[in-house]
Amino acid sequence: MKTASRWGTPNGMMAIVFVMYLCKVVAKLAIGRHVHSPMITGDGWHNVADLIEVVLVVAAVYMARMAPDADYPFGRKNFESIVRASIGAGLLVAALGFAGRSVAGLLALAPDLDRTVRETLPILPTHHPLRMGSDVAGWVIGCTLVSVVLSFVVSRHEIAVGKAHGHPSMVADGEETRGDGMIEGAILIGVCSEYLFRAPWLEYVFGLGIAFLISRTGVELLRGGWNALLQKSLGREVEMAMKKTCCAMHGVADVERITTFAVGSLAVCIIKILTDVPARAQDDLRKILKERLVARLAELGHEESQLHLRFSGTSMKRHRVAYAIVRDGKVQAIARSLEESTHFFICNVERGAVVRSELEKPPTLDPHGVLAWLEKKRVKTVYVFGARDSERRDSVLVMCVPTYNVRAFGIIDS
Amino acid sequence: MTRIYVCFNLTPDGERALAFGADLAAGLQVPLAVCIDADDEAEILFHDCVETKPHVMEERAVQHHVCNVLARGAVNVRPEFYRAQPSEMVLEPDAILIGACNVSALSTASFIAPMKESALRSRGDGPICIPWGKGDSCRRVAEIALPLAAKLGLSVVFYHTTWIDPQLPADALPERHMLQEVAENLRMLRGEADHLGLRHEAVIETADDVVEGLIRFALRWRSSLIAMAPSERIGIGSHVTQVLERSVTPVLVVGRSRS
Repeated sequence: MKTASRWGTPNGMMAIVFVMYLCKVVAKLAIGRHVHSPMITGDGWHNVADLIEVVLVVAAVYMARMAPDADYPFGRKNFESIVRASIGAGLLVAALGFAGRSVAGLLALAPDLDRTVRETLPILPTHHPLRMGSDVAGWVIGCTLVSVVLSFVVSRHEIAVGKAHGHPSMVADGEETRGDGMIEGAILIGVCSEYLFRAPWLEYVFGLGIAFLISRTGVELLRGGWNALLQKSLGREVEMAMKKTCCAMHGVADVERITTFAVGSLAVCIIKILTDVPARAQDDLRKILKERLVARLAELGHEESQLHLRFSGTSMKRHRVAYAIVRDGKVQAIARSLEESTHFFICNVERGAVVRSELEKPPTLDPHGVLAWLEKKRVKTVYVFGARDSERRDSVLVMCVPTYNVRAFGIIDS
Repeated sequence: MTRIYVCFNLTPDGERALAFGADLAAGLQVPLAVCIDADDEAEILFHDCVETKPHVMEERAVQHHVCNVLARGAVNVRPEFYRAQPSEMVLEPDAILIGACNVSALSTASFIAPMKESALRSRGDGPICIPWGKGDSCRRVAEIALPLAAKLGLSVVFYHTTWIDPQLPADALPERHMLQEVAENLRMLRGEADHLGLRHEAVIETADDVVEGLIRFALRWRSSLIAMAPSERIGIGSHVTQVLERSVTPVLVVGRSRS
């Protein structure tokens, strides 16, 4: 039980993966070089990159435990991006090499064409004929078969341990190991076909295929690391999903800006939310929004995330309006026209609501004089009671409201 | 549910209440009663109106305005107009008034504070959250909120937060901290919900603060509405008043007991 639990820990699991890749690298490079197989040698170099990645995963698990500080506010997770990009670049160079050796092998089948191509492309590698025979067949087939089995068994456990301990980089490494198993499966089919059909040229066709698969892994690693280092956005799909999650929440008026990027495997989202709720309610919003956004990001494949939510009020849209008032003693109502009005409530409006109103008597009751007075007070719109269409008089818009009750506009205490 | 009442006014909150009320009335297939605040005193200022009285002109203009708003929102609802404040009217016990009201002056009718939302389901078809405790206020809430959920096709989530019983082990489930009367009320609520064929769940927590726990729970569960009733035994510190001050989720406050 003790042994099982030790290998079930992230460190124990990564030790197993490391030993597996080390054995594969030694076996494949030795056998591949001995039989001059670009397919097996290429896969051996691919496993060198995997070996470095295992070290990287262990380092990433260690780095992830280091809390952000004043010098590294987002932590040190981009270390992983740097190494990933380097491995990706290395794999691309290696894939180019295997492709070159495979092309050289295929060209060797047609010596005239080989000569012509080599005159144009002198950098093409020298071809060493593939060694086939009963003395090496057991080693070649045995090595590739054991590699396939190991890759599938180990990847399954690595993913399980990664998920159980919450290490996304370990899960990703496990998935890549499974991908390696598929490549090795293709190599096994190629090797068996060579011996079955006595066709060494199959080696080079499969070699080209393997070079393509390795270069694809290289491009993915390079792109992932490059995007994280240059702080590329997590993409429109993620940002739209974030916005939708925010807007589905009571109290959120809108999302003004979303900035997303990755620091290593950590997804960082900086979201500016527009809301008019009071400060105390913002604490509730912030807490639950964070929970929801973290869950949504995990659904989108970003298991680790860091959210920065900023709250801001919606636009004030400050302006000034006036209500034409007819007043007799303490009784007052909205006047039916400017001509009928005796007073005006001059109102400051914010977000559509009157925040300050002051009853004022115009210096003159002449409509032109009243309009000039309103204009001087920066009033854009004046309201009167009625059901007519709005009309522009000088620079002031005269609009009708359906009630004469002053209490209906929030300009006096009800 | 017999009617949804809305006070007509032209403030942003008033316009939102009208939209919220119209949407709810359409969902419940009941009339929307629009109450026009009558200022009869002011009528004397329009003494030159001979053919048509000012209040008649006002009623027509308000009706025209409300019908335009409903048409713009494509809401299929029949509005009725009353020239009175809802507080002056004898409302049906199961009527719901839209717009924040004074809890201490609450009649037998209920009200919904829309909390800046323009429709009950503007953020999705979340459940109606019904907090319950040991008192009988949850019975009054059940009488109004459960039929409301049934008519709107919404599910219900019952929420209770309890003080920790220090005699129980630290890892005891929250249910074990619950009082006997609270458990009995839950059985009653479940029975009522089953009777109406509602989908329902019950969640029990040991939150630090009742109001904070409830508000955050409603947000976490994407509730469309929190339904609660003021207890008639509370002196100060009413949970209903605190929730009304702090919640961003619309709140249904059920009116006082008819008895």
